Amino acid sequence: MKRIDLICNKLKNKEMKRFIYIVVLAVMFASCDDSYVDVLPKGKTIPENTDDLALLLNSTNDINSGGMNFSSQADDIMIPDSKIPFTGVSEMNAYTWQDFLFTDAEQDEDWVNFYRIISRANFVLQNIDTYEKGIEYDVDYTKGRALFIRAHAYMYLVNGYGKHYNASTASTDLAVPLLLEMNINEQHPRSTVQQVYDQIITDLTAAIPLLTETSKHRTWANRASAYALLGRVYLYQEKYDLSQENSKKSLDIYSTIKDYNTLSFASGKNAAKGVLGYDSNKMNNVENGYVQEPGWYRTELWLSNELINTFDKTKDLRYWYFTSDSTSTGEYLDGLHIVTTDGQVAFAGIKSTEVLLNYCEALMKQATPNRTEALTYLNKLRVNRFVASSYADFASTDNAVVLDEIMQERRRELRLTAYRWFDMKRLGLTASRTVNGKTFTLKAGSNNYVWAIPLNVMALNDLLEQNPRGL
Amino acid sequence: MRMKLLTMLMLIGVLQLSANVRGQNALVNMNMHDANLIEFFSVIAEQTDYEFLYNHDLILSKETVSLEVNQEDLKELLEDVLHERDLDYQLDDNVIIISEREFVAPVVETRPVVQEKTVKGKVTDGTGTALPGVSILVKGTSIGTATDIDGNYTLTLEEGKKVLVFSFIGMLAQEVAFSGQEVINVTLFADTEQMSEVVVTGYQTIKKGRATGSFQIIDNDELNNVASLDLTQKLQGIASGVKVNREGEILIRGKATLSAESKPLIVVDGFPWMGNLAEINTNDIDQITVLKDAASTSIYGVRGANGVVVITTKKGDKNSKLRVNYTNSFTLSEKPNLDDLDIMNSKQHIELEWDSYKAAGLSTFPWYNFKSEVGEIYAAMQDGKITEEEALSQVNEMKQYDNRSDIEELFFRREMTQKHTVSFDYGSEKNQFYASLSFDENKQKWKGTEGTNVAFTLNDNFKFNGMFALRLNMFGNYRVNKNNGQFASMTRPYVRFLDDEGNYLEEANGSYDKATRTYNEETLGLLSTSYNQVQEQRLKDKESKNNSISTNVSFDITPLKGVKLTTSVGYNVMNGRSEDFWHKDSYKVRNYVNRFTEVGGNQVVPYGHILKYSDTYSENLTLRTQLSINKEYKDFVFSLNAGLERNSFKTEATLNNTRYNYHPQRLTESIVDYKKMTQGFLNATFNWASEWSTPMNSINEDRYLSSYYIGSIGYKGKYDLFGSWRLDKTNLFGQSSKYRDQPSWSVGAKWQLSEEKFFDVDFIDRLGFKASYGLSGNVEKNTSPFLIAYAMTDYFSGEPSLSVANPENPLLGWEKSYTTNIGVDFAMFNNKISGSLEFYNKFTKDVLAPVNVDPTTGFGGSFWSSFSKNNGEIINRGIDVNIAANILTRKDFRYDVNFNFSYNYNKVQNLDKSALTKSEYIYGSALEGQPTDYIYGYRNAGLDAEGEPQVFNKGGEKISWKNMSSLTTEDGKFFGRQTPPYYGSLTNSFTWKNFTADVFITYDLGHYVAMNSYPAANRNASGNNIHKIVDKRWRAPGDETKTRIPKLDYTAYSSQDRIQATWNSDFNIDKADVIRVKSINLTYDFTSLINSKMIKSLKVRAGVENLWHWTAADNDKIYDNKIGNSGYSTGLAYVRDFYFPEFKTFTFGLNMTF
Repeated sequence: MKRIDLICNKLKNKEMKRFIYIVVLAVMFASCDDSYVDVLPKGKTIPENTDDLALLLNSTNDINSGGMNFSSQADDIMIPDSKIPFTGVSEMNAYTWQDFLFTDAEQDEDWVNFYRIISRANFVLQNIDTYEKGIEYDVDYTKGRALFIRAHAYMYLVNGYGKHYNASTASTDLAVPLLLEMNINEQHPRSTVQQVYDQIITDLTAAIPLLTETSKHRTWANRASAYALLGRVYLYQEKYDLSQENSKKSLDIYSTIKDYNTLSFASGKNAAKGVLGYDSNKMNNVENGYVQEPGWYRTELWLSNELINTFDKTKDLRYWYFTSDSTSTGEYLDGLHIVTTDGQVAFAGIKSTEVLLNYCEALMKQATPNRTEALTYLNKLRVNRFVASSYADFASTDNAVVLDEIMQERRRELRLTAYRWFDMKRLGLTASRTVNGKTFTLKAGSNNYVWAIPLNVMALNDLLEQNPRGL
Repeated sequence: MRMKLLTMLMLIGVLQLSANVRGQNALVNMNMHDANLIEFFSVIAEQTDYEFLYNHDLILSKETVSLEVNQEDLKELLEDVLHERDLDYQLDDNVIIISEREFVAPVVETRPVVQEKTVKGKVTDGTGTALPGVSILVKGTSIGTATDIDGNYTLTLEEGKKVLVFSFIGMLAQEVAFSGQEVINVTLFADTEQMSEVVVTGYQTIKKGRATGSFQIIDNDELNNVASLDLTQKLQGIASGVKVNREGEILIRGKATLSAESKPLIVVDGFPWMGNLAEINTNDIDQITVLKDAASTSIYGVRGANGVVVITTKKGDKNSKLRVNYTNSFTLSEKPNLDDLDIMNSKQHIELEWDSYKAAGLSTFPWYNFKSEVGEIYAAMQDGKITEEEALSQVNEMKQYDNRSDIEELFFRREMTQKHTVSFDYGSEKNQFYASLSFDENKQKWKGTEGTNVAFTLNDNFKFNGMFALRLNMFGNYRVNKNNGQFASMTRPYVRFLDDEGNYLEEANGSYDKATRTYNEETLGLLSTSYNQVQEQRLKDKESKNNSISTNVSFDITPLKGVKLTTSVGYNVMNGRSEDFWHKDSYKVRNYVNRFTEVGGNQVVPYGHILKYSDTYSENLTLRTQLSINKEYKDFVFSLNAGLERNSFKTEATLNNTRYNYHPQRLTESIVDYKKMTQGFLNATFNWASEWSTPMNSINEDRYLSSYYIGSIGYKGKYDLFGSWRLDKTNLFGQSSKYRDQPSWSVGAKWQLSEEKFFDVDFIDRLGFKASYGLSGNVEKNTSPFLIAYAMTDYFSGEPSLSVANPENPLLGWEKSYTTNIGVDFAMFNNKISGSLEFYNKFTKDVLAPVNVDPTTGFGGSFWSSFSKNNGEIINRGIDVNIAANILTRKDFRYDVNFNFSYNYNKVQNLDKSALTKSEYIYGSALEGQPTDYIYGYRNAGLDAEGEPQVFNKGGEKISWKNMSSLTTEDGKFFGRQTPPYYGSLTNSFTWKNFTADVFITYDLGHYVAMNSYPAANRNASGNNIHKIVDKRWRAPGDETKTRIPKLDYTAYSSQDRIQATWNSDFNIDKADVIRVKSINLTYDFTSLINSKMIKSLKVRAGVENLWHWTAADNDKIYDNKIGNSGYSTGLAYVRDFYFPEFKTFTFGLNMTF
């Protein structure tokens, strides 16, 4: 101020002096540095520390949902002719194993959902080592979760869009693009089945020491779910030793199975047949070690006779509880069997009974089958599934008979989940169904056991090669 | 009389100065150096009792005065000083009127051969008030005179044909042919061009003649010519280049963005207006300036990219006495008539249902058990409970009743609005004051949907002394809206609502048939789900209340002449609450409670009234410091404005708060188990229990920090140069300066050709050319180069979680628009015709275009099917023409025309995007080489022998919809644009004595409309009424020669191809050209008849809107009145089937000044 005074005195101009004072005041008032616009908008976050990354994995909507294409393709369900007019076009395409389930204007939600999961995991993994360390979530655990969910998503994708793992052709069979970084401006070609499986095993192996044994929520990964997934990966690769070893590690941590004898019939119309009231929320099912919600909901589904016939209709509580011969509104189905609110429909996560069955199968398929152990575990499941009053353990000394029983139990227990479709593909089954008098057959090894790369994805990425089509 | 004169003069912008000391013999003392004439007059006014009337600009254009006199006679002094400056004065009572000096006719020598004639007359203004000091000249000579204080004149002329020119400051000059008449009375009209002499941009005020940019000024009078109350509707067509669409969104000079904001910025009295335009009381508006080109808008930086609408409110006039004005208006519309909707009648609808049951059986969707009343009868017949004969007789009985007149009676009414405004203004030299209070009420066409609004405006300008001034500006608004209307018009036409005693009758509704509903109630213990729309309408109460207050304060310091420092603060707060109350007897509550009921009847949500409410709060703060320097040096005028500005826009909301078992009197509620409601529970009667929205909070704050410079140089009023530069920083893009700094700039030049000495075109009064070029940025607020996530509480785990809202996109940046504007301003034939012609070219690059995102990136699917990237350019090119013409002026009669024409060419180019599918073309995804709003469709080829639709491929062959997947995008056709490329308005104003009639015509030409009949393609499963055109459907072989409406599709999911073959084809896409007589407005001015001292002005107004229209479309109900959601969307604009035609609306109003 003094300096300005001096200048002003020199100027000897009263008005000028007054003017300069005011300008100085104004500039002081108005001067604002850029910190004014440094404020971050509330309610939205630009992730900047490892806690933020953990929160990205907490979103059940983003991370734990997906999986539907198998639902109408597997041989568990049927669509009565009378219901065809009310069935969606893409669902009918799936039901009749068409070359393409979706048009180029439609979204293949499986591709969408699993790649969404992968992109979130990639974002976490590419930044977790450089971001500032947070205080709420353990960095190792977050990293382990991200590795697990990426492996879990690729496991679904590689089996959906690639051929089943075959050691002799896996390194040339095309699977899906293998993205390990989030980058919306980059295109990738398809990797091979071998490459994807290798990545899954690498991720899971890295995840296991980082994860905790159990987790706070069913939607969060833990060591039991990672071992379980590894057990499934090796099972599909027919590396049965490794498979049973990892499944066992999982079961040692978590093997809860709900005793269906403790379920009670809900009151109401369907009390006589089928449960309306069993925990309708599949998320809370105690058997679910790691939850993957389906991208798909149904309250009523018609079961194929083939599936219905595998149940012991007098002793199997699953048949008793989860099927009905009338709709929830009382419409009598005349011999059709319907699943109402089962809670397990379209499940694509990891559940203890799947791990148990993987374990049993691997035990019997490894070089030296372990029948005793397999029977012990098989009966651990059965005792909870059959009417207690007439229950008897399954016993046989014939390895083939035991394996067959394991596979039948697998069919019943994993009904309507993603694993039936993958089993059909894995075990080389042939299926056929009749629609309005026209018969469709899906032969073992058919091209259409491998889903088409979505047409809208093909249109956006020149590097992709379509899977061969045709039944 | 004098008061009237003063008022009139003030109205046309002439300033006036009054003296307090009175004296008889005017002698003055004076000692001044280099003083301007205003100072000269004020010294006289201080010493005498004279008041001066003069035109500000005229006076300031004259030489300054330097003199020293003592006890000088006023008359002599004035003559000396004024005559030197080519000015003259008239003395009347104690008013001195200063005018340009007239060349008094020299004494004409009498020549015997030449006959002389004396012509007399009176000159008045439009209101009949006499005009003193009007110059009357014989055209081409310096012979003439001026009117006296009573507006009378006498002029002696040689015989023969001559033209007399009557001119007066602020008025349009008028020429009258003289051929020997004895009396010529003349009425002069205000020159609106001169009245609105300034362009207000919010940062500065420029004389209109000097402005290099493109703008259009609309004054209060012009706004009042349109009868409607809504400002947005008024803007439609008044200003060229401005298009208001049916949703009330304003688009200036075409759309230059695909996903970012396309609405213009609204500025009220210098501050951005965040509210709704409709909240501004039109009676308070003094002037609206629409800024269109870069030179005008780039100074607003990023928020000005789409043009700016600058509104200035009324201020008190200097030295005026208290004036009170009362204005009201009442509008009344036609009653909605359901016959105007293209919906089926009972017979048609029942036949449709019956046909489909017979063809496809009653089987319903597996998860959707809705059965209509007709469906229940069919079901009873199928189950053998009644015979077919009985069923048919019941159905035929139902055909006899049609509910349209009941719907009209129960749910609809005439639209009605009323509005009252009282305003006060007065002013002294130091303080000018304007205040208004308004009340309005509107009742909409749906019974139960209505609102009231109380608002005030306060403007106060203080001048403390030559150095300090303060402007205070407040707006307040309190608004209450009820939203209880029921959109019943889509109900099945045979449904009866009330029995003869007025009891509610049950309507089929919801997802369940009657049997299920009974079962649910009796066996599962659920509440009754019987439904009745009348009951539903009566049992809900949806209300929203909003109040907002804006306070703007500006403080001016003028330390030196021509230097001004302004510090301004603008602060606006808005509080809003909306409450939805449902009575426990309503279906809504019963159904809601059922959703959360366990088998057996245990209610997780207690059965009682439900109140749902949301609160919103917003705050907007602007701080600005601006230095303005305006200097004149010889023939040059310099101006420089530099400023710093910060803005913050903050909104907070808590949404979806719900109170269960709420007691509106005791205000009590019950606590519910949110976790159970969200996650579901054992023994739930419904699988999906999460039919409720979690309460949530949101806070958003956008900040801008800006600095700007505006400079201009003018020379002799002929040449003007203009330049501006602004830098905006914002927090929208996070913290990297790479993204958050956006410069905007512009340059402009103007050449006023008519001011040139060599310009010698007789009939042209004014001719100027202008050009400007500049850059402005636009930003899409929802996108970011960074990964942005929204925090929420995860529904399953209850843990905090983040969900990605925006992927990381390092290639993202601002959109940049480069605008060139070239224009001509002109006036000719004595200002009888004036106007402007402008050409613009707006080139926008780095347009954020939604590109289809490969889902492999993790961002695909229904939520992410597209994704913005800076890729693509949009060109908007066009012409704006505005012409005002005085067609006819006769004694007591005058006819004026104001014509606007706009042409906009719009094209997207260089869009780096992979090939689109046919469906995406139909949905209008941005496409290279096409306008932003193109319409694409198939060429319909009628029906095949089975009644299935076909289209033509490009080779002209008929292709069944079943084979349409073989077609490519080339097989379809581009029709044109959805927004009109040609549009504008024509206002005709007739004045006869005290009577004024305005006829306002708008036109929209060259666009297309796609009419949506989506539901018609399907079997009607939803139970809603559908388009009656479906009655013309194919029913039997042979019909294909008579109709193009396919047979009913009995499948639940119609193929998109089947739907599009008919409804997205030329069968359903039509030219949409429309010309409307938008309004006719009649005003009668009673002022001169009343002759009351108390009432200074009284005008009565009556008008009618939407009187008539013509359209090129087959069905002339284009652009109609929205009735609500038709329930379907194909992404095409201007869905019209279930829209009422625009109602004729009648307006009555009164304007009174005391």
